[in-house]
Amino acid sequence: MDEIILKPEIRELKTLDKKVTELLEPYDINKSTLMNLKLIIEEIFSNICNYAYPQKDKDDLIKIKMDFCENILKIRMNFIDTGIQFNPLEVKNPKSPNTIDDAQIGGLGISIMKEYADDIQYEYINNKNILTITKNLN
Amino acid sequence: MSLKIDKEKNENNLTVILSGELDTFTSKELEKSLENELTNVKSLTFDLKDLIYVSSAGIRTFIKNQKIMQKQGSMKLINVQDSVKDLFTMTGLIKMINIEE
Repeated sequence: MDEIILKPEIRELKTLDKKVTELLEPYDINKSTLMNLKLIIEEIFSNICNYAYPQKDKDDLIKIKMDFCENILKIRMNFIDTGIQFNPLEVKNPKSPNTIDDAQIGGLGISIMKEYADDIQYEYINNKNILTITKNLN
Repeated sequence: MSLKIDKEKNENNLTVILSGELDTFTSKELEKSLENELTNVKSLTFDLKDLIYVSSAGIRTFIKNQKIMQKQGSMKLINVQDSVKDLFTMTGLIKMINIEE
């Protein structure tokens, strides 16, 4: 199990990407699958940065645990934050808009995450949001 | 990976060729790069031939530009890669923006 603790600042996404890339580098994983994983990570991380901590405290952190299963090429990631309680699974997918003026800007990232992850679980324990996603990489 | 932005202007037509990744960081670069370029543009084309990654931030940038362009002309996306097109279909962008085959 790998673990990384980051500040909820969007530039930290680069640190997280690097960590995931290093973890998966030795394995022969399809490029488009890696791109989909990167997309899930960007959407989750940027959602936390943008919405979880409106007060902006220097002690705010996001902990990410990564569990990679080598035999079946599957990664499980827990995103743990102590920000505002938020269950993305309760967000209804924005109705697919027909015109540009109907386009809902919010919710897009959540729809993308739901589409590209193979499994998503959410728990709120001890004032922590714990979002667990699983992505098959084979 | 980053984003390369090439612009070709021909009278009122602007073509923006994007190569690489359009993510939360590079979509800001793109918005900045287009900030003062759209005045008098009647036709805006994004050539996505070498664009391999788009996130919701990138989609928002296309929506923003579409909103600008529908007031003064038109906008289209060309040479969209299949994986990117799948994302546009899934998010409904394909119904809002002219994507040329």
